[in-house]
Amino acid sequence: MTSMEVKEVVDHPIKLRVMRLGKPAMVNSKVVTCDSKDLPGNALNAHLKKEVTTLANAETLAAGSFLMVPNVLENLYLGETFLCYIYLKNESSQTIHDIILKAEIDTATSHIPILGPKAFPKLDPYASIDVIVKHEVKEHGSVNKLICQVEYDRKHSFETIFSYRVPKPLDLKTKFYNTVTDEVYLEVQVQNIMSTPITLEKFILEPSVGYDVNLMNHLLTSSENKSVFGDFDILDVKETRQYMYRLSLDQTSEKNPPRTNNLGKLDILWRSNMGTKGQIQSSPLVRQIPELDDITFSITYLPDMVFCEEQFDFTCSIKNNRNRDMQLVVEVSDEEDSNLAWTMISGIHLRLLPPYSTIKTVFSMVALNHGLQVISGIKLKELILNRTYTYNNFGHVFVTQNHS
Amino acid sequence: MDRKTPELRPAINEYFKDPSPSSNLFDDISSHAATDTKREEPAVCRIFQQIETKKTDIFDIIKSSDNGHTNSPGFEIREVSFLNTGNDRIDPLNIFSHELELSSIPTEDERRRFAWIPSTKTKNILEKASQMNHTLPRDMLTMPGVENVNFTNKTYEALVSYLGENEAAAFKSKTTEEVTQDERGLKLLIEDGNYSEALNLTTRLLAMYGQGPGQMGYASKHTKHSLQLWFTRFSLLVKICAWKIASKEALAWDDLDHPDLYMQWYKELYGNKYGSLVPFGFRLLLAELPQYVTPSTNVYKKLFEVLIGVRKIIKNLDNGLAEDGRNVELTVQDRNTTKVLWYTREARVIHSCINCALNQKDFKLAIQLLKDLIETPRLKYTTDHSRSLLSAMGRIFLQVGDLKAHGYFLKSSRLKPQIQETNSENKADYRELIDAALLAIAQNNYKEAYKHFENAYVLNSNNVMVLNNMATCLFYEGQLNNAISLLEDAIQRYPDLALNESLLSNICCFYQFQNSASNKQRLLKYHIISKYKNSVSDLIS
Repeated sequence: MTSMEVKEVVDHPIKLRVMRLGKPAMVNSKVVTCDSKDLPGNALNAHLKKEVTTLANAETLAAGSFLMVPNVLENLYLGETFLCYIYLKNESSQTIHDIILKAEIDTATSHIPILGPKAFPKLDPYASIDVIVKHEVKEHGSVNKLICQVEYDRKHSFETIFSYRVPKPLDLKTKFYNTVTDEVYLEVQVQNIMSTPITLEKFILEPSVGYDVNLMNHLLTSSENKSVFGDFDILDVKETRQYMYRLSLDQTSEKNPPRTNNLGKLDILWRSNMGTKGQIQSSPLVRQIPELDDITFSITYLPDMVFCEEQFDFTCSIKNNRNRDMQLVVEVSDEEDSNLAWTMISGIHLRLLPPYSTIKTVFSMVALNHGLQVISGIKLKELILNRTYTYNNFGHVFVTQNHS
Repeated sequence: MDRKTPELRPAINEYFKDPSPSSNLFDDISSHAATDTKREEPAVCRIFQQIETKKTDIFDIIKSSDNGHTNSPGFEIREVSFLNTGNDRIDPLNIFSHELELSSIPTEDERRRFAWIPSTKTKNILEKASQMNHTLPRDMLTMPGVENVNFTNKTYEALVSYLGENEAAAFKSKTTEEVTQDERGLKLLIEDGNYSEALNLTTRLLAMYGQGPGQMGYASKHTKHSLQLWFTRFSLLVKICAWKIASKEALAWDDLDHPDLYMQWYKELYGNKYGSLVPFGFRLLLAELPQYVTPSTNVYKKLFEVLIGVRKIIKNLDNGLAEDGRNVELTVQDRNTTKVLWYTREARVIHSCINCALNQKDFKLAIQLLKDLIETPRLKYTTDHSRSLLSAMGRIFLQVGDLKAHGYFLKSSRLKPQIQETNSENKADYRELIDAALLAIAQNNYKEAYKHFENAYVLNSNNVMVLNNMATCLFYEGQLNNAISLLEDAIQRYPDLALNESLLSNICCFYQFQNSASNKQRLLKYHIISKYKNSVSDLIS
């Protein structure tokens, strides 16, 4: 083991050693074979077949099961488990009494006891105390230490410090896109910045209360929720995946759920070599809430195709985003060069719109020319505060000839 | 130290209580699948040897008949039985729907083994060779030479100083001087495992061809025999991990495609024979080298070139031509034999590609290649080989931390031959136990893994791997002393198998951690013996 660090000042009769344990690795020997009529004959083949590290009946595949305690340890990453062998040995010919063993993790911000103080009445000559300690790493940084303290014979004591670094395993980047209908599209990029390929076993967005999540990481064409990332959940070194989510306000919960800017958090579980497990939760994903206009004006129904010179209707919803009543008048006006014309009365008074409530209105138009046409020319006049809101270029229809 | 030997079964059980052998390791998800599949009698054939008809051999992956001269309807090539997929693929059945005889006429055998398709440029030169006066521009010549290195066995000297002349004598094996200076002597040294002395002998023998030390870059003549010597030399260099020397010597060989490496070039020597002088294994070995040498270059390029070459040959055979595309009439037996040979070679190259991908931690590629091998086999595999491939797949998944490995282990265990025993529960067999143990380790359950390994040991007690893995589990459970005694025991009982680098690396790690004086002595002895055994020279790289 490379990362063993033992600091001893006095020559104590009992010695303490610590070793961080990484997962065992499966080793293989070099596969060299030849035809039996080649010069070396079957000697090399026979050597390979005899090797303890080979896979019987498929000797030429380097997939044996001979386990080896790793000589070089992989890094320990945030979210993984720190596993350590503590070995306390009496190296004298005398029995030692009243041993107390204690271990704690010391990070930049906290002390976490992970063992004891554990008392042992005596330790016979050349006998040992073996303990495996575990600790889930929840803080990254370079100053993490395992401190083991030993007391014996009620007067002597010493401590051993084992330091280790905890780098970050994954790089997460998020982007938010707000829509007028108060949905949020969330884009998450996750990059493996570890030194080994990993398997992403779980990658879940846990939404805050009041949000519904719609996963957008599956192929639409497949019936059985096939992932856009293919069959493998393997994330190679430096490889990045991009997940996409659509979050909408949960309609069922309350009429007006509090608009929280905390959308939720990501729960990620991965495994790497021989099943080394790591799990992290992201900090809350906070979006910048867009400053809402006084009114949210959006189309709720619009035919995508209409016939030339025939009237069509569409519906819009008008939402009052303020804590006051609104008295609205709908005005429509034909734009110059527009190929759509209004076929409705301009200046309709809507009913009084209480705070945060929504009203739906139907609009009628006729198409004058073929092609993709833009809808423009709606004005909402608010009579109480005497304000005008103009909506242009907010929808499209495709106009075709009616052949029937 | 309390020594508990694996022989004392109950004692070992004490390491972990609850030694009850589990019978059903993998959830039996669909039991009907197991009964549906037909159990095939394992038969024999060989991978990457030429097809011989006389005996069974190692590396049996495909079914064949023991005797190629009898009409053997048992040799049907079709989908392996664990598959339900790929109905629209080419059915391997069609290739050998007729009865197969393997052919063993020496000239045919030679043509098959050494067939290779030259590049267009080389082909043109070879076609003109009869008119030209056997001269090639310098850059088209293959001019190899061995590096000036004497491979020495310092370890034997160390053994003498440690054990004394008398005791060390037992470990003394033949030296170059003690064998005949020819192919036979070389074979003896290799069989003896004395690789460094064998390498020195290749140096001498190649010097006779004008390809000795310092002769790289000078024109020399190639024969089949000189190529066999080179192949042997590279095999040994790879065995002892002498990558630097190997890569230097490999430079002269380029792509093994110069005209002077084809039999056509030497009409006076080989008459009207066609083919390469290069043994197929040599081609593959050189293609495998880049992964160990320079990390910057494309490690797969040469491997895939070999694979393409093999597939071209297969295509020619499928189109009714000879291996190298000549329009030659082949007998049915001849054609079948050569197909089997080249299919097995194709599988062997893919194995090498997988090994290379694993070496690069390129697990996606390894999985994809192995998946193809499992799902679209060219040849009918034996049940054992099929199971091994599935186990291999599971292990690759485990290496990258994917517990879907379980699914492959399960598939493997469904192929298990059903033993007709009434009223007895279906006990896990050796392979299932090993796979289950590996899965348990991935789930951090070393106790359970130990139990599985232990049960596997009962089934196949002459197995150093299992003992080593049991020791490893003990160590991860905080039982350093027991782990050490188990390994020491393994060394004592199976010194020949147990004294290998991997096991010594483990025991060395344990000794260092335990840090007692007697350990160091013992370790030294183990190291010396194992090193001498494998002829690993200190001098290399």
